[in-house]
Formats: sequence, structure tokens, C-alpha cells
Amino acid sequence: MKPYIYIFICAILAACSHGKPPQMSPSTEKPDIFPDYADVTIPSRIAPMNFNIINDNAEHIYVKVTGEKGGELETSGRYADFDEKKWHDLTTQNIGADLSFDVSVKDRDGKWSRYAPFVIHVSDIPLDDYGVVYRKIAPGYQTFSKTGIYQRDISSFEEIPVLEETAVEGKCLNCHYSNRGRNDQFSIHVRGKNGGTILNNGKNLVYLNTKAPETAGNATYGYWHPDGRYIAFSVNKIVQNFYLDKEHNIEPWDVVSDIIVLDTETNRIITSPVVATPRCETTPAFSPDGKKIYFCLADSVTMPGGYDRLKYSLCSIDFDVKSETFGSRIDTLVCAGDLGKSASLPRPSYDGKYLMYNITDYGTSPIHHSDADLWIMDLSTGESRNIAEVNSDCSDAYHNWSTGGGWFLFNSKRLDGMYGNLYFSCIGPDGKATKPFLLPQKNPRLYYDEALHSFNAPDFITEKIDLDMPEVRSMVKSGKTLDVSVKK
Amino acid sequence: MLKPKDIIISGICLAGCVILAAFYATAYPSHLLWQEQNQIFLNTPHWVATYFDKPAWLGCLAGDWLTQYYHNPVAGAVILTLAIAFCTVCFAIGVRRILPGISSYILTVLFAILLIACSMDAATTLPFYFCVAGGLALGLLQHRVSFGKCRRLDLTPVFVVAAYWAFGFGALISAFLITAFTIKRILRKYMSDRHWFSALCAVILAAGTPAFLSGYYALPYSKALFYPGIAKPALPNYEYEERLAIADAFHDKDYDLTRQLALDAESPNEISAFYYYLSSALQDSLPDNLLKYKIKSLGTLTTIGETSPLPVINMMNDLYFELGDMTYAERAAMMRNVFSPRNRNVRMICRLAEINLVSGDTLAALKYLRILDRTHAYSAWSKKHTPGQMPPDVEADISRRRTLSNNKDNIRLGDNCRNILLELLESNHKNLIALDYLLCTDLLLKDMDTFKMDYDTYCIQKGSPRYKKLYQEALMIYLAGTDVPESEWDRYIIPGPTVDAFNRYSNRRGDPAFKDTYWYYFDKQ
Repeated sequence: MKPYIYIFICAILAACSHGKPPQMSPSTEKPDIFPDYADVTIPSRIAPMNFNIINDNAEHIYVKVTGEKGGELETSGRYADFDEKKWHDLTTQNIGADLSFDVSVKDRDGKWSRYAPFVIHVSDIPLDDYGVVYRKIAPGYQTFSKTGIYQRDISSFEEIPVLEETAVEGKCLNCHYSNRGRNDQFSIHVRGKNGGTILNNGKNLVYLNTKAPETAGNATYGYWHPDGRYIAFSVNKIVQNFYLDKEHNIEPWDVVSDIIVLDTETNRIITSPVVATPRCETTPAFSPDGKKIYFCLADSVTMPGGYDRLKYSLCSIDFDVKSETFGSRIDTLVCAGDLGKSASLPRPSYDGKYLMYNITDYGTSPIHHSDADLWIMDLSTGESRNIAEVNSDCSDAYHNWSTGGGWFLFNSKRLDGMYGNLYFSCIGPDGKATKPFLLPQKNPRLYYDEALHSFNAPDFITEKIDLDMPEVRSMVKSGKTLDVSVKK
Repeated sequence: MLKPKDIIISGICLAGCVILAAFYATAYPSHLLWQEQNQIFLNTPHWVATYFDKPAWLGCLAGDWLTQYYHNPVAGAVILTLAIAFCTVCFAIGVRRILPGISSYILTVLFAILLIACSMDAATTLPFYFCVAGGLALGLLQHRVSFGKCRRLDLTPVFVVAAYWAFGFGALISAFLITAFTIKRILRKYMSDRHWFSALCAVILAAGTPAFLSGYYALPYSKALFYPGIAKPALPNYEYEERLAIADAFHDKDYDLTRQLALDAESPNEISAFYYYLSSALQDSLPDNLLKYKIKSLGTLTTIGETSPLPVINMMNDLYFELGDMTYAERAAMMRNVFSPRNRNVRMICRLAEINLVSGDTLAALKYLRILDRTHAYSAWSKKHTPGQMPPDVEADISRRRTLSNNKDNIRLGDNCRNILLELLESNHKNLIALDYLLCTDLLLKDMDTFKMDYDTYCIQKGSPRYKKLYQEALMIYLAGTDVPESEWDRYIIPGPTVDAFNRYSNRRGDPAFKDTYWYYFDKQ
């Protein structure tokens, strides 16, 4: 190669290189970063916590991460973009310790500023799940949007479609419910022409029509029994009304809602007059031992006029697997009348310690309420409290627990009040939740700015889901569903 | 040196291109703008990376990137013409190697006509042409490699798979070209076994690669095979162009031009009527113009759902936004976004930013503004609408719209426009756009009792009677039909020529001389 080519390449490299900042003392000010990762607690397996500097004048950033138990990691560029392998080496080395982030920023005038370091704590509570699954959907409106259900490896930035609307054209894909995050036991509702419920019961994939003549509607909100044979569903007929002002936008409510249990081996539905009343019973969840179903219950009010008087209590009812029967008594755990609020979406931790749920001023759809907060009940004492450590001024909802316990995820609209994004936190030994962190992305500023979808109904998954797309497509295309029957 | 024949052919081609570009720029500019408005292209690596999620990434990326320049009709016309020209040149090179003389020219001309006919359909996007061109170019390249210096190396599988990866259905075109070259060689009888393999391999891979990758791309086979979509030839649709031009003039806030285009429309329809009336309302002249348009469509009797046509969703978005109902304007904008390619529509993202600025949801507005800031054509618009950087006219417009918005916190029963109008007037009875739409809807329905009730509630009882000729004429019908004392007439009607005309009309009901009056409309239409 001729010398001038070397000179040219060197000149290009020199022009692109910003180098390291000069030696200088840090200021007392912490860097303004997006997402706000300062002082959050992370599991060691989490993907690199890349971040951007919120400063239009910033041209280049240099970050040095130092582990309390040893190890270092450096990155520089337009944003902090850590090498995945080196990141995991560092977090693994520092389980139970802090990572200190020393950030220097070069502005457009070439001037470097070094900020006071911020800290991320690597938790010693493991998060062994493969990743998360969620539905991407345009937020809060009556649109049959081009949705898809996706899975994301928690330790990397890899997102893989489980099922996209493009694969089953013209259908609306609803939430994915799995048995404790298993990839071989789950259900997905498909709405529209030829709609039904795709059900993988661990043995085979079936397409069910979950509406029996005796039940009020299709199966909607579901939760698997720990033995993997039964699924508790609410059957809902949902109506959506708009608000006059734009603050709330939309209020979904149930015309009818009852609780059923589906036996996935026989495709029979188990009902009980105790949970199929003119009142509204919804969002069931089995207790970790499978002996109870938590659910929400409201007295009927005249709708839609009485929308702000529709308040759900948090209740439970016994369920006996052997006899396939519901108990005869409903226990009220959180009384809407006492609280003056409405409870929704009960989710027990799989270790049986906690029950997390939503509290809103009224109604049953917390993702549409900016006042929606996460609450937690200590199941050993029955005491509940607002998890103020994680809640925001916007909707915080759609929570669930990691299969190993300790960690939980939830959907929050705190970034812009409109789009629900995925946050993680864990309950520490003191019973307090850690500061939540936003799902890491390769370039978080660009990703979250450009996304026009909410992360709807998120949940942890223990392994990658491998859905047989052609089989699903042919099932949906044919519209041939298996009917369910009601156990007499 | 070019031969005289080549010079003549080149001259004809150049002239054809100039004529075609001139046609797009002058007779079809709104179609081009529609393409630009119906998508968004962000100048960020993250956005570019999303193109790899589906096949035809190069065709779609190049097409979408250039489509953003359709914002300028001349640039759009030149880009589209060049894309068609490039496809045609690739086709001509290929076909000349297969067919002799005149038949290759005829086929090339037919191919060019087919491509031009495809461009007449508003659904045909620029990525289609890039995929055609890419497929042809790779087919030619394969021919050159296979029969050129590298003839010992059969790279057909690489070419066909690459064609699918980069140009989607372009792989089918590559395979077609490769097969055609092979057939020609069979006919000329210097065919080796290896070329049989090339042709067979091309056909199998062009059909098989989409099947193999359909799961990865989450597409059904039929869609994966023809991704990003095959255009359909069509005749020029001037009626649609007319409609789009009217909507574009409205979006440019040129209300005089909107009304003029609507009045001049050769095929007046509900959309031209809708924009005629909305422009009139924004110029405080809806009652003055209600009877002047052939088609009476205010949009107040229209609702939208997932099966609504896209122009209707656009219309309702404009109506709700101008009336001040930000909830429904947002709903329509979201819906329109969802029904756009890649769920994004730049006009609706601008609208969502405006809606959230009006409703005071600054964080949401900033999200949309940041998206727009990363585009070529809307970056300046975004800066102009960023809180703290707004010029006085933008700030005044946002403030004005805030006064029109709903400030009641309640749930509504449905998207019945009458309810929406009543709610807006309950929030602000000085919302004249909502008032005129309410009263004019009553009058178009000839529901005089409701008209009188609404007029009383929002004009008389609020102490701000609206003395428009149309309303005076309608009130006269109502008063004449009831046995009210003269004092009631004095309360509603201003003495003058309208009263005299009414008296004359009463004796000549249905006389076409009065066809500009509400009385005639009430009696005859």
C-alpha cells in the first residue's frame, strides 16, 4: 500500500478518535443520564446498562466502571455502550457489591467535564429467568393495532418475535399467559374472525373456543395452576368508553365478568355460582400452592354513569384440585369500601411471601389510570402497603414476579405519560423494593424515543419460547377450534 | 462514438423521462406527497437497523429514504422518474441479451408502461421499484459472473439468496432472468450441465428461501414470497388526486385555496365537501356557505372504527382537532398511525405532538417532537413547536386551541358527534366552530326543534345570539310554524331584507329563485 493511504487512514482515525479525557478532578454534580440508572439495583445477568447523556451539547462520552470487588470496564462514544461479555464478567465478579460509574463528557467546543461518580448495586438475589415476554401495542385506544408478542433475552439486547400479527394477518393478538414462565405451557388469545385461544398444555398445541353456551363470554385474563393442568380465567365482556378530557383518555369496564377454571386435559370448564354472580369477578390468580384463587370483586353499578363508583375488592376463594370444586366462601383481603379505592391484578410471588396488586381510584384497568400504584401484601401478616419506592405519578401496573422470587417487573408510563415501558425492581431483605430500572436497550435514548408501542402484559419466561409459527398460522387460518364444555 | 440510432433512442428516452417527471410534478403532486406523509424516515442508526427485521431491507431502506424527499413535488417527480428509468434500463439490458432486435425494444417499452401504470396507484411505494431494479441488477450480475471471467465459479445461490435478503420479491425477478438466459443458451445449443443447475437452483431458491425464512421473518409464505408487495397497474386517478390536493391545501392552512379546490372539483364528493365546510368554519363562514356546496357532508354524522377507510380517519382527525376534542383527535391519529406502513405516519406524528401540546401533556409532546427532529423534512417544524422555542404564531395557535378544548372530567357514551359538540360547548360556549357545526348539523337534518333548543341554549341563554342569515332563515321557519307572539319574533329576528324575503317566499314556496335560502332547502331538498 502506498504511504499516502496510510496517512489518509491515520488522519481518518485521528479525526474519529476522541481519546480519553485529561486527568481532572470530578465535580460534585452527578451526570444527567437517560435512563436514570443512578443508585438502581440490578441482577448480575442483566444486559449492559447502556445510557445516554441528556445534554444536547455533549459530543462524546467516556465512562469507566469500577467494581467494588474488583474489575474495570471502559467505554467511550456518543453514548455509553458496554461490551456485553466484559459487562457480564464485571457484574458476576461484583455480585452483592457496587459498580461505580465515572463519567466524563466532551462538549462540542472540545471541553471535557468529569462528573461525580454514580453507583449501581449488583444484587445477590439471582434472576435466573431467560428473559421477558410482552405484547407491543399502540397504547390506550380502541385500535386493532399491528401487534406482536415478543420475547427478550434479559442478558442481551436480543428480541425475538413469539407471534406477530403479520403471521396471522388481520387478527388481534392478546396477552400471553404462561405457567410460571414455562415455554411449554402457555395460552394466547387471538381475536377477530377465526379467533380462539392458542393453548400449549405441555403436551400439544390446541386451538380452543373458550366460550361455552353456559358462560358469559370468552376466557380473558388467565393464570395457570402450579400443577400445569388448570388455568383460572375470568370471562369478560369488555366495553371501552372515552373521557371528555384527555387526562384519562379511556375507561374499559366489564359488562359481565365471572371466574372459571379450565381443565386443559379435558377442555372442560369448572364454574361455581359463588364466582359467577351478577357482581363483577375478574383477574384471577392461583396461590403458589394452588389451593386458592385470588381475584377482584366489585358490586355492579349502573355503567357507564357510575364509572367512578366501580370499586373492586381484593378477595380469595378456595379451589380444590382433587374434587375440581370452588370453595363456598369468599374471603375479602382488601375491602374497596374501607379503602375508597379499587384493587386489580393480584399477583402472588411464587415463593408465597407476597401478593402484589394495583390500587386505583376506581375501575379495573390500571394501565389507563395515572393514579395506578403498585401495592404489596405480606401474606404472612396480611398487611398491605403502597410500594412508594417504585411508584410514580403515572400509571404503574401489569406487574409479575420472577420465577425464583425476589425480582418483579411492571409496566410504567413515567417516561412520557403515554407509552408503558418495562421496569424491574426487587424486594430486599428489609422488605423494601429497590429503585426500579428501565429495561436496558442498546441505545436507550433512540430506542425509547422512537418506539410507538407500549410493553403490554409483560411477564418473565424461564426459557425461550419456540412457537411453531406455520402450525399456529394454519390453526388460525382454518378457524377450527375445539369447543369447551362445562363440568356438570 | 454513439451511433445515430443510439442517439435517437437516447433522445426519445430522455424526452420520455422529462415528460413523465413533468406529469408527476404537475398532475400528480398530491399522490407523491401522500406517499411521503404516509410514512416516516428517521436519520438514526437505530431506525436503519429496524429494516433488517424483514426481507428486502435494501429496497425498502433506499425507497423509504428517498420517499422523504417527496415533500418537494419536483424532487419527488424526479426521484420516481429516475427509479422507473433505472428499472427500465436494467430490463432493457437483460432483454437485449435474450431477444433479438425489435422485440426487445417492444418488450422494454411495454415494461416501462407497466411500471408507469403501477405508479398511478396511490398504494405503490418507491421500495417496489427498488426491489424490481435490485432483482434485475442481481440477475444481470449473475449472468455476467457466470458467463464472464469467473465462469468456473457458480454463484447463483449466493445471488438469489442475496436478492431475497436485499430486495424481497426481487429474487423472483433475478430467478426469472437467470432462467431466461439459460433457456436462450439451450436454444442456441451451447448449454452445459452446470447452467441447467444454475437455472434450477435459481428457481428453487427464489421460491424456497421465503419459505425457509418465513418463520424467521414472522410472515406467512405468500407474504414472504412477494415482500414488500407487488404493485398493481392502474389508470391515472385524477379524482383521488383532487381529493388529496384539497386535504393538502387544508393542511397548509390555505383555507381559501381549499374551498376553491373543493368548488372546482370535477368530482365533488364527501371529502371535498367535508374540507369545504371545515375551511369555512375556520373562517367563521360555515353558516354562510352551508347551502353553497352540492354535497352536504359535515362529518358530524360519521364515526370511525377499525374498518374505516384511511381518508375518513384523516377527516375525523382534522374535525376533532379543529373542534377542540383532543381525546378523539388523538384516538383518530393513533388509529391512522397504526394503519400506516411500519405503524408510523409523519402527518399524524405532527398531529400527536400538537394534540399533546394543546392538552398540556408536555412529556408526550416532546417524545413526538424528538422523533420529528430526526427527520429531514420536519426537524425545523419540531424546533418551532418545542416548548420554550415556539415563535409567537405557534404559541398563539396552541393557546387558542386550549380555550376550545374540553375541560370537563367525565366519561362519554360513544363517539356520537352531537354529544361531542355539546360537551365542547359546555366547556366553552364561545367555541364558534363547535356551535356552527352543532347548529348546521341540526339544519341539515331539518330537525327544527333541536335547532331551536340548541340555539336557545348556546346563543340566547348565553347572551350571544348569532345573527347569521342561515340561522335567521331557519328561525323564521320555526317561529312561523308555532303560534308565538310577535315579541318572540323581535327576540330572534332582526328586521330587514331577510324578513321581507321570507314574506315573499311564503307566497311562492319552492320557487327556485329562492334556492340559496334555507327555506328552499327545507322545502325542496
